[in-house]
Amino acid sequence: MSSEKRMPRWAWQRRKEDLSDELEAHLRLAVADRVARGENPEAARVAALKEMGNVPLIADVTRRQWGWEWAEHLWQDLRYALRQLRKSPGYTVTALLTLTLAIGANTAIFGLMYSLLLRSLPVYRPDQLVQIKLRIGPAQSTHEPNAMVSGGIYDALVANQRVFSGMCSWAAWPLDLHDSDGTRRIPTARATGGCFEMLGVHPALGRLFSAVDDQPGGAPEGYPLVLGYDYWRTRFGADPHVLGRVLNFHSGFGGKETTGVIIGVMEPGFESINVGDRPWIYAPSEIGDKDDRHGLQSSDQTLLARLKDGVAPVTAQAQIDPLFGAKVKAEKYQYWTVSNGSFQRTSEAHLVVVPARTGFSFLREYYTKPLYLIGGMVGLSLLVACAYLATLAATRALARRRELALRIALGASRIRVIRQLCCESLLLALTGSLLGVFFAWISERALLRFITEPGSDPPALGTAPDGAVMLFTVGLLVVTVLLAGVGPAWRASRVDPVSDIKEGESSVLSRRGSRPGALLIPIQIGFSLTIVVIAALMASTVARLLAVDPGFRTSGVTFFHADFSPRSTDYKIPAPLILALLDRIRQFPGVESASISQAHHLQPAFYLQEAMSKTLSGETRKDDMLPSLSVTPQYFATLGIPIINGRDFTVGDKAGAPKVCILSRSAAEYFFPGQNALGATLQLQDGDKYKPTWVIGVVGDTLYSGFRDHARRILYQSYLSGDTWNSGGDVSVRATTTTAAVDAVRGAFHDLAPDVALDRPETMADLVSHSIGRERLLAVLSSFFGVLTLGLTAIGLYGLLSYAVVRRRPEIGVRMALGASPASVVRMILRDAVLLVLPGILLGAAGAWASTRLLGNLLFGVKPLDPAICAASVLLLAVAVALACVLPARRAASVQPMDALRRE
Amino acid sequence: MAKQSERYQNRIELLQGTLDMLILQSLQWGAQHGYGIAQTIRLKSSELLQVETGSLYPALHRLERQGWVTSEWKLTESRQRAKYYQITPLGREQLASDRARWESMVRAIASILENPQPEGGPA
Repeated sequence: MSSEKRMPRWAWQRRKEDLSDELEAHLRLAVADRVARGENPEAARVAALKEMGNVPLIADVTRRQWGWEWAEHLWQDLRYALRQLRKSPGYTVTALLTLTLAIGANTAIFGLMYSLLLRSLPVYRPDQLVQIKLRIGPAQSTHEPNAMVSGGIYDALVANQRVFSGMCSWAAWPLDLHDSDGTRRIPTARATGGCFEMLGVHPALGRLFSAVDDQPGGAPEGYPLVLGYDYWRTRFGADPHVLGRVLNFHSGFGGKETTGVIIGVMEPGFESINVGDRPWIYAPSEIGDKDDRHGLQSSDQTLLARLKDGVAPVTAQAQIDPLFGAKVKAEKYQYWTVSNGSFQRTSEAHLVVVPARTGFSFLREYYTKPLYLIGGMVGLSLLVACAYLATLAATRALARRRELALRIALGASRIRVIRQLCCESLLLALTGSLLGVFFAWISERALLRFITEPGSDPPALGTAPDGAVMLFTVGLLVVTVLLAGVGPAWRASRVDPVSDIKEGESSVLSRRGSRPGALLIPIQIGFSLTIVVIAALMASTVARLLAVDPGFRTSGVTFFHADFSPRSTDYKIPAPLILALLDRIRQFPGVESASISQAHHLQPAFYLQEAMSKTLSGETRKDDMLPSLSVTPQYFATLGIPIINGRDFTVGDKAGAPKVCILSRSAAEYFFPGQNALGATLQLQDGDKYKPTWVIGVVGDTLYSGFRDHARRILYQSYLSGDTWNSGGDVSVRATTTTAAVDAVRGAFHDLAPDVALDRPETMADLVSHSIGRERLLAVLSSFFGVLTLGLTAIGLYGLLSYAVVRRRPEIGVRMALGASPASVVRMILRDAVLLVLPGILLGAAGAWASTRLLGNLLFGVKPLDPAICAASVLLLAVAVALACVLPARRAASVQPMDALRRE
Repeated sequence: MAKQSERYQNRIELLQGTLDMLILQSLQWGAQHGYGIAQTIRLKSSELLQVETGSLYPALHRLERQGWVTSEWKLTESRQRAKYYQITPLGREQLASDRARWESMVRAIASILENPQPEGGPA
């Protein structure tokens, strides 16, 4: 046995062989010694062996000196567990699938929650950051302060404050970049010069701009621009010579044609102070319109600051609020505020300083509650999965009672047996976690798609594997092993070697055995019922939202937002350009109608108009907040809104022509009750006076901002008459296919207005699904987990009942021999089931009651504890339970008394 | 299995310290293999002390793990492969301190045995 010829092996194996070589050498030396002393070789060998003792045992004891005994045992346990798992592939696959789904879903949801709600901004000392918000009205009002403030507030504070070591005003507003194939809107962060220094972020290449770079007009060669790391890699191929390149663009809303020069690339990891935002370019704040940047009126900035050491947010607020108050007073500025349903002006406003370790995100407002709900739900699912696995593990261990008893009788310690049993669940949980992490990675993308705004990229959330998320997954793993492994193993290891070996299988049948999972089943049923009720409520909400008639058609329309800033003067877009574009779009094949409007249906934002009328009875009717849409001819045809009376706008309704408007039916009925609104006069506020406007048409009522909206009074004005307040225009096209619409609009703009930036298309279907995105997200996930947990619970119950039938076979046999009918045996089994299910339903009712409190305003058209929904959920549960009972009950009823008794 | 290994461990326990010292001492005169060490101890003690193989090898491997001996495969005079153990400087220090402790213990025990009459005790 020459070791030189042996293949290279594991060091451990080599060492083991080395030891056995050594002991063999010892034996050879001893034999040789005895032979040299004149003994017969045969006798010498026997004597030497006898003197040496038990060689494998010596090797064992010696190996123990190496201090690796535990690893050796672990390896043995793992191999043993693998063998056990291979022996029951059905169990292994179910368990793995369950764990993958449960751990994966938990990881995905936690990843999303973590990156949206919990993660610190990736900047220097994020704990020192605060956000400055604006509260319009009295300081002690309980209204949530506005997160968006105006650039004028930054100006008021930056020079005179003494509480911050730095300040940063940040606005996300795109630049319209001109390049070889037209003009594109580039997501841009407009940051004040001191932002990057204050945040403590660094360039990956070149430099970042600083306070001196943030000047009106920029440097001679253009405004300094910093590229986002991903944008640099994807659009510039990570070109290191990108520095100094000049870009031509229009700075958007109220801005101008200008140039910028690339001075650096942002470090990877940092995107924005707005969590989920991923700007492609960082530009200095002065790049935009002067009034917009320095005035008090436009609230488009997020204002962050870094507290000086030892300054509390309250102290900072007390110092900066007077500075702001002085500015408002000096400029005699008045904020609009809505109180009791009408607009009022007030000069009272206050700044609020709040901690901003995690930055700021609009998404939080909408998704915090759903995410916590979903998080709780998938957490419950994991517990149900653990309970299910624990029940299975316990049943398996009971079936192996005899084997375990034999092991203990042969000298295995109880700890060792527990360790062996736990190894199985550890192996399962470990594999399940790995698969789960992969599943999470896939499902996170799907989740992000639910919360993506139409026409934009998914939010930059939770895409990178993160230490905290991994830690969470490991935590789940530990919990799983503890719940599904250690507990059952502990109980299973309590065997009495003598009686268990003697009785063998029959000990499984004896009545004294504990019933694994008898406690867990009610909990599983409770959790499942809770999730099923949530699922039913959310599904019914989605169904009811989709059943709402919005008053316009929800298919076939595609919207494009175009920024006409380069062509507009004073926010007015020339009518000839509009008409030419619409004409060209309509010529494309597949296009049925096209229109341009300012704002459109299914958008969260409104333009509001104050309007007044005199009714026949002489009463004055006023609406301070009448949603107003400016539209070109064909808007109603495109959206599919019926014209009830009168006519659509025409190209003749232009600037200089008599002012005309169209009203929704409710608006017509409100302003002109009991009369024909056509030809009537509506007074529209224009500055300080009212302008008479003739009503030329009445259209059907529609929703506006979403499906939870009610039919509103809406005012439509003629886009061509120049009643616009914004250089942006929304092109809407009804076409046979989305592709036809996209080709038509892209083609028309490419030919007639290549300098106008077009946003990506948003289809009506996208807008509809986004407007019910939260509800759909909850409905889909809760249905999925409802089915999963219900399935696991039913399988668990089935297993438990089947086991009970096997266990009670002799008893059933005796009962039947004494005259019990199969029906009464079935009743007995069902009574067992009901005893498990009833407490579960009570628990589920409590869970549903508590969790539906949280659903609150997410519901639509159903009450949190809708009787029909609750009844249906319980019914569904009952069906699942009944299915789980059928087979065991039948098996019990078919017990042959003689058979059962003979086995006893 | 567990019971048997306990029996072995009890023997190690009994000889612990002394066995380590005897092994180190027998390596003083040069590298030696396990069998040789056992023989040396047997011969030097005039066959009074028999080292069990089941105690010897765990002790050798323990000493090696402590860094008091090193091992290497070599050929014996009769051209057989055997694993030779060699004492290290650290092992020599250990031996010296073991020996000092042993000698003071022997002295202490001897003084008790040689003075069977305790002071002030009953005659």
